[in-house]
This record gives sequence, C-alpha cells and structure tokens, in this order.
Amino acid sequence: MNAWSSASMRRPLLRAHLHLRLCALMCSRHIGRVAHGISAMARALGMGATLGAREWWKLDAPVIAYVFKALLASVLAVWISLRLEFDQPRTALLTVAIVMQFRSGMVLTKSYYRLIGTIFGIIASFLLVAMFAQERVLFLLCMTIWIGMCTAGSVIFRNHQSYAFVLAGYTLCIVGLPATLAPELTFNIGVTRLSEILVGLLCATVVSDLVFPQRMWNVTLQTVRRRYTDFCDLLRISAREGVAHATLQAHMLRFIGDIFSLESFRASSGLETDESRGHRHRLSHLNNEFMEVSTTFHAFNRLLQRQRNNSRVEVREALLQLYQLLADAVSVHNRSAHTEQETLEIVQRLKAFRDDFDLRLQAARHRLPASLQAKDLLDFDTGAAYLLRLAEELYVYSRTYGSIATPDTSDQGHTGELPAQLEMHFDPLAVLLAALRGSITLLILAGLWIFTDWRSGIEAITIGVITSTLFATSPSPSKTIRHFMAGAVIGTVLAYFSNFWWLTQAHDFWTLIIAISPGILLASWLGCRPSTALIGAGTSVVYLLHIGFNTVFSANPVTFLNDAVADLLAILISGTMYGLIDLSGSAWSRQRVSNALRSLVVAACRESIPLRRARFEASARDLVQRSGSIQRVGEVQDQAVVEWLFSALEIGHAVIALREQLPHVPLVMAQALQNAIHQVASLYESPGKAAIAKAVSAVDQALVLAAPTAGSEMPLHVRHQLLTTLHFVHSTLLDEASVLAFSPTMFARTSPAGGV
Amino acid sequence: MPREFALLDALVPTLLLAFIVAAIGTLVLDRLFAWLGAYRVIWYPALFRLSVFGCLFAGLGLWIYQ
Amino acid sequence: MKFYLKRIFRILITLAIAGAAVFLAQKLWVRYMDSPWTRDGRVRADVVNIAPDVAGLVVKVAVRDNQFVHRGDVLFQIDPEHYRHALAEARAVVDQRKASLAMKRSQALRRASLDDEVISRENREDTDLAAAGAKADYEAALASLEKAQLDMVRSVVRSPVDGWVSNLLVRPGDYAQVGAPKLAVIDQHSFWVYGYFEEHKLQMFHVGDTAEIQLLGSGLKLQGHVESISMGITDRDNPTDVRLLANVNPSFNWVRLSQRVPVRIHIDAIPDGLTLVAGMTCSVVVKPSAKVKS
Repeated sequence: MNAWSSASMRRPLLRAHLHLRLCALMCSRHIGRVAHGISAMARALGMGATLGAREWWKLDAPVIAYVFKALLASVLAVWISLRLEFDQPRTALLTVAIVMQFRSGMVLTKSYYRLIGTIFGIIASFLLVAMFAQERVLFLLCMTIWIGMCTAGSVIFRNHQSYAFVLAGYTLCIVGLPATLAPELTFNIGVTRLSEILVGLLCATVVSDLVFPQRMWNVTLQTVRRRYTDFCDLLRISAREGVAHATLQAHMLRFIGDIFSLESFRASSGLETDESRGHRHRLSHLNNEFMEVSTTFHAFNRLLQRQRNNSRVEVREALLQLYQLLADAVSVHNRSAHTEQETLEIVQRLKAFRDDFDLRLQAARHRLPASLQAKDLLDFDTGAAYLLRLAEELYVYSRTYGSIATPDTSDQGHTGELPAQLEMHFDPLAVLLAALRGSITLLILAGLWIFTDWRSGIEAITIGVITSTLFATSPSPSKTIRHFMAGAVIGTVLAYFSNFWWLTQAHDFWTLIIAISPGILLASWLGCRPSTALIGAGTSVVYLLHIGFNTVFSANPVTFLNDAVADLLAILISGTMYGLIDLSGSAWSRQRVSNALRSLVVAACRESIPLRRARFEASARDLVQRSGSIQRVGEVQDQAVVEWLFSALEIGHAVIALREQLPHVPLVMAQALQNAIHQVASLYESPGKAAIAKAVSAVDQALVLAAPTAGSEMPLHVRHQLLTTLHFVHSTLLDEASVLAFSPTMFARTSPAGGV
Repeated sequence: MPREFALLDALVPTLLLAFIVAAIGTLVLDRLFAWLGAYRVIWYPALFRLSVFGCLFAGLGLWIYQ
Repeated sequence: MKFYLKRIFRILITLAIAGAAVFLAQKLWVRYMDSPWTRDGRVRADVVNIAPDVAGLVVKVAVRDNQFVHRGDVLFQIDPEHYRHALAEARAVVDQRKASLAMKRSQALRRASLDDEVISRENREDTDLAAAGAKADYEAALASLEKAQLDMVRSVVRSPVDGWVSNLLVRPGDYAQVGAPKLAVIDQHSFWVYGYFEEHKLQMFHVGDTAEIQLLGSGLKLQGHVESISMGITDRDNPTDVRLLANVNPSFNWVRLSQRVPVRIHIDAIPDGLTLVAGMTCSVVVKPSAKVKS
C-alpha cells in the first residue's frame, strides 16, 4: 500500500492548480486503491470470491456512484432548462460537466468561483458590446486584452480562484461574441446564459451534496494521517539505517506536493459545512509546522550524511544513539502512529524526550573520548542542536495533529493567533508571457475569423480561449494539450453518433436523455480516472458544445462538421502556442526558478527587516511548485532546480537564525557575522568555487570569534546557537555534493553530481 | 406583495428575490447551527440544509402568492 | 438501546424537516403552477381608426395628440370648397330639373284636355311620359343634392366615441384619402383585460368568476370578472400552406409546455386618477367561485 501511495502520489497529485485535474487529484489515491483492489481480487480468487467481490464493491462503488451522480445532475439540468425554455440547455449541461467533482466541497467551491467568473465575464461582455458593437477590430483587440488579463490572473492565483479567471474569459466568448452578431439581444443572451449556468451549478451542487456525498474532510484527514505516518516511517528508517540522498529527496518532494494539495483541500473545504470548517485554521498551522519540521529533518539528515564522510566515528555513533531515542519516541508498538489517539501518546513521549534532552546530551558528551578536538565536539554540538530542533518542531506538529482528534477542545498553543497564509509567489515575466500567449492565440483565431469570413469562427475562438487560459498553469502543457486533443476527438465522434444516429430517433424527454447519456457517462468516467482526466475534460467540453439539441432537435451536419474542424484547429493552434511560448519546460525558465530561489536567499541575507521563517519557506516552495519541476524530477535539469531549493532552504534558515541573534552579540562579533552573511549573499548571487572559498573563510572568521576562547562576551545560549549555526553553514558550504560547487551557467548543460 | 418587481428596470418575478433571500437565510442558519453544534443531532446534514432552504423558500413563496 | 434511540431521534429530526420542506414546496408548486393566475396579462381597449369619408386637403386639425374628446367633437376638417361648389351645382341642377319638370307637366296637362281631332294620341302619350321622365330626373337631382350636402357635412370629421385621441399624425395641408386612417381614438368605456392562461388552467374557472388584476409596477389592484374565454387559437405546429395542405412541424419539443389561451376579463370599475393604458402588462388572478369548486 505504501509503495502504491508513493507511486501514485508522485504522478498526478501535484497538479493541484490545474482545475480540471482536481478531481483526478481527489481520486488518484483512490484509483491506486482500485488497482490495489483489482490485484486483491485476483488474489482472492483462490481464497474466496465473496471477499474479493466485497473489496471490489468497496473500492469501485464510489466511481460508479460518481458517474451516475454526474448523469443525474445532467438530467436535472436539462429538464429544468427545457422546462424554463432556455435556448441552450447544453450550456447548463456543460456547466454540470465542468463543475462536477468527486468531492462535494470541491463542487461547491468551484461553483462559487464559476459564478463569480461568469458574472464578471458577462459584465465585460456588456461593456465591450456597448462600446464596440460596430467595430469588430476594436472589439477583438479589447477582447484580446481581456483574455490576456484573465490568463495572467489564472496563472497568478491558485486552485479555484484561478478557475474564476478562466471563466471570466470564456464567458466573454459565449456571451460577447454572439452578441456582436445581434447587439440588440446582448442583454437577453447574457441573462439567459447566466440562468443556464445557474441551473447547471445548482443541479451539480445539490446532487453532489445530497446523493452519496463524498466529504472533503475525509480525504483531508486521510492525507494528513498518511503524511504523518509516512514522515514518522521515514524518520525511523533514517535513524535505523540512514537514507540515501535520492530517497530523501524523493520523499521531500512528495511532502512539498502534499503541502500544496492540503492547502487546496483546505481552500475547497471552506464551503463545506461539516467538521472541516472548524478545522481550517488548524490545517493551516499543520501545514506551516510540517514545512518547518520537514526542512529541519532534511537539514539534519544531510548533516548526518556529511558527517559520514568527514567526522570522527565516535561523534556519529553518539549522535545516532540520540537520534535513535527520538525514533523510539515516535514509535508505537514498533511502528508509526496510525491514528490521532496514538499520536497523543507520542506527544507525551516527545515532550519527555525534549525535557530529558539536556541530561542525555551531557551524558553522551561525557562518553565521547577525550582525544576529540574542538572541531569534532562542534560537529557533535551542531548535530545535537539540529536534533533538538527537530524534536521540538515534531512535538509542536504532533500536538496540532493530535488535537484534530478532539475537535471540541480549543486550539491548544495557538488560540486567537491566525496562522500565516500560504502566500503566493510568482514570476512576473512568466505571467506576462502567459498573458501574451493567450492574447496571441486569440488574435490568430480572430484574424482567421475576420479574414476568411469563417462560419465557425466563434466556435474556434471559444475553444481556443478555453484551452489557452485553462492550461496556462499546466506543468507540461504539450502533454496536457495532447490529452485534451484526444478527448476532443473522442467527443467529436461521440457527438456525431449522438446527433445523427441517436437524437434523430428520440421523440421525448426520456429518449433524449438516453440519446445523450452515453457521452456523458463516458466523459465523466474518463474524467474521474487520473490518467485520463484531461481526456475526459476534452471529451465533455467538445461533446457538450456540439450536442445538437435545444428545445427541439437542431443538429445540422454541415454546421457540425464546420464546428468540429474549428475546434480541432483551435486546439492545434493553442497547442502550438504552448509549444512556442513554453514557460515550464524550457531550460530558460528553470534557470529563472533557480535564480529566483537564489535571490530569495540573498533577500534573506540583505533585506533590512529579516524575513519570517515561515514566509521564506512558503516562498521557496511555491516557486518550485509553480515551476512544475516537482512533477518531472526524472529530468536532470529539474533536479538542479530541486537541489537549489534544498540548498536555499538550508542556508536561508541558518541565515535567518543568525540574523535573529545579531542584536544580542558584541559589536566585533556582529561585524564578523555581518561579513559572513554578506559573503553568503554574494555566493548566492554568483555561485562558484572562488565565492565559496570567500564565504567559507568569512564563516571561519566568525566561528573563531564566537569560540569561547576568543573572549567576546555573550549569553551562553546565544553563543551555542551561533556556534552550531555557523558550523552548520560551514559544513553545508563545503559539501562536495552541493549545487553551490557548480556555477549557474553550467546547469544549463551539465547535471549536478549531487549524489542523485 | 407585488408578484413582480423591478430589478435594474428589468421586471422579474418576486419568487427570484425569495430564492435569493432564502439562500442567504440558509447560509446564516447553517453557520448558526454549526456554531451551536446542532449538526450532531442531525442524521444527514446535506439533506437537512436542503430542507431548511426548501422550507424558507416555499414559505416565502407562499406568503408572496397568497 | 440508548444508542439506537439517539440514532432514531437524529433520523426523525432530519426526516421531519425534510417532510416539512417537501410539504411546503408542494404547496408552493400547486399555488404557482396549478392555481388560476397568470403573469401574462394585457390591458386592451377598443380603438377606433378614424379615416375621412371624403377626400381633400386637410385645412384644420381641431385636436391635439392624446386629447380627450367627446362623441361628436370635431377632430379635423377637410377643405369644403369643392363640396360647396358641388352643392351649388347640385342645387342648380335641381332647379333646372324642377323647371323642366314643370314645363313637361304643363305640356302634358294641356294636351290631356285636347281631343283626338286636334292632336294625335301618340303625341299626347309622349308628353305624358316625358313629364314622368322629367319627374325622375328631378328626383335624381334631389338625391345628388342630398349627397352633396352629406359630403359637405362629412368634410368635418368628428369623433364617434368618448375617448382619447392617439397617434395623431395628420397636419393641416395633408391630403386625406377616402378610407385612409389618419388618427386613432381609444374608446373610454371599452377597457378590458386579456389574460393569457395556460391551457391546463382553463378548467379551473368559469365565465363570471371574479378576477383580480394587478398592474405591473403598481400596487394597485383592479376588480373584474371573467367575461368570456376564447374558443380557438392557432395550431403552431401546422400552418397551412398556400394550397391549404397541412404543413406539420417535423420536430417536437422534448418537454411539452402548455400553450396559452386568451381569457377576456371585464374590468368592473376603474378607480379615479388611474391612468389605464391599453397595452399595459398585468397579472391576473382568478378566484374561482365556491360553486365551481364543488
């Protein structure tokens, strides 16, 4: 199961911001379980079919339920639209298909943002039609600007907010463009589309909330639980036998993905009404605390790895013994905690571990051979300091996690204080380019429409805008577009059969439903499997755009073929534009991410007001998350980005800790520290062997000054902190495997040696 | 109660207004119930919420169309 | 046991409120969909299209647009000169025919007293008949005179009803053709309401039931009663073609929606001070009498 979860996590979980993937995200683990269930079924054939069948039912029932829920919502939407005599019931259908998600909380949130986006899109349509109904060129130019803004917005914002921007752009196409052909009907078209969309939203939310609801909270809780168990597992393994650099990195990347998916769950559960609402703050805390504890864990393990090469064996043994004690503290019955109740027990033990730590440290220190030099002792002290920090942060994290089991007690530890939000960090240039790409796609299609007097121009523009705004944040747009294209082809074929084979036979409401349901069922089934989620999205969008009925049968083969060709052409053009202006796949963009990470460290060194630790963490992770490198760790250049992330996290934290001590040290010491920090900043501005040497010597000087023998006056704990942190920086800088040893220009061409 | 009212000079049935009022009322009541912990004595919260909305909406509608 | 009690209690609470919701929603549905009322009502009135009976230049327009006129009030006047001349000519013709008749009569009288030796019988018969012909000519001239007098009177166009002038497009100097409407007068006493009821609601009330008319955008309610129900509407799925063959629509709505049938509502009293305009939108609520219900 563990292997499964890690494999499935690495694949799709991290594309949380890609809204159509969200349902894939929701059930990716679930699908993992389905596959697990199938293998279990195969096993069960020998043991007894009933067990296998039950297992299969337990795992597959939600998928079946989901598919039929989507169908039910669609039927309701069509019926209401026809009853109210809307002229395009398919808009309501399309809305249902887009909003329908595995979890009801997601449906609610998505509906909410879809409504907001639609309203803004309609307002923009009214304005544009009012101003430029006669002037198609000006109209399309303004539209281009609007689409550019929407694309930019969808790149800047995460999750469902991003989706609101997509909708604002898309609504301009479905309201504004038809309105240019009949400006006097603009208001009616706008109101009708809004009503149709509202009907779709209501049907989707009511059905998903009422019929076998799948609660966000359950999946959130599962994620949190699994994450805690995984983390403790990793900690216990690393204490017992140590972990390889590659394994450690893979786990850390998965944790980053977890942090962002949990954040998206948290955002989505806001509109769900059950327990999750009361837990939202706690989830935020949990995320922030997890970020810290995972960074410390990574730093500590890197330290251990370095010591394996450089330190005396006695020092390592002593540290590992202490570490083993921590690992024992997080074990229940010789395994990691699976429930919150077990965690509460662990919290007590961690508290005990922390309280006894000083005594044990002293004992271990005494046991070290007297022949050790000061440097080796410092090695030991640094390791111990990081271990203590790890234990403390783990204690806080476990306490928050354990408190989820007892929802009625007040938030212990953080009453009143609001948790830091996961802030957004984006590359303005990337946003600008995405906006440009959306605008150019629209311009090309609009140009085609105007110059060739194309009958299906509006259709093409609509699909072009959908694809160019929707996938702007996709980690690998060309693959995304390929999947979408495949879905579009399936949708077109389905629509052909629906329109000209089945709908022609239909004569009343129920036969109409029978005629259109195969497409809906297939599209929603494809949509809820993670590997085919995008194919499902393409299928449902294209199928429902072409479905040939309104209040009466109204399919026309000539229009259908024209529109189908227009769709495919529009997808091709927007795919080409993604290929031309590729923001995430190019070496150039990865270079930019690495640079941004480095400049984050520089900012941590140089900003007059020291960065807050949580903010630094979130910024760094968000940068990498957005770049999409996490999804492609297999590629050499993406590994470089990830290496830079960890390097920035390690050094950045140390620098922030050092700067916090600055006010408490004498002037000479402070100057030396400033110098060391300055050199580290220069190193991150322009990495290279020479810069490393300079930084190391500056850190060395500070270390010498901070030593007890140097005679500078400062409180004991400040000195201890300075020494251990400086030593940590020192050893990190000297790390042979570190990316710092390579100049940035080399990264474009060569792979880092970094033990991967 | 007039059966139609002017919304930005567009005449819409008052039922629409009732719908919006009922939706807002449901949201407020929902927060209130969640705060009171009333959902612990509810078997199917989603159904309960929809029913609360149904009662509010239908009640308002009946009052308008009396 | 206690656990089960609690569980049953929880289910009961939920089901109770769900039941209440279903009950209320059903009542609302019945009231909205199945009670005899409609949002689609129109105020109607008889409109008289005023066209002149005689042609000619318009010389005077005596009313302003939207002015109230009584029955018989002058609306506009067509140049009477032609008709005055025609009248004079008709009079002259009458005089001439009258003289001619007198002459023929006296001739006939004179011949009648002469015996057969003096004039031939043929001659005497001829003069008798000539006198009869002259009498007819004279009567024809009299009729022409009356027509010329009528034309003269009709050159002044008057309102046939009490009501309001509407859409006054005629100006002095226009040329008025016979029978071409120049303005409309809305009959003050003819206001009624057309309620377009869905076909399934027609069974719920009868002629004579009281009805309440609510004008759009005002809280005012008018009282009225059902006067009559239209006995036919067009079949929209089958417009006949030029050769009177059926032309049935090949596709039909997925969801069958009821059509609307006009129901004529008589307005019992129009309150003073209310501006009732033909074409206004209103809602109509019919209150079926108890007799009908049973």
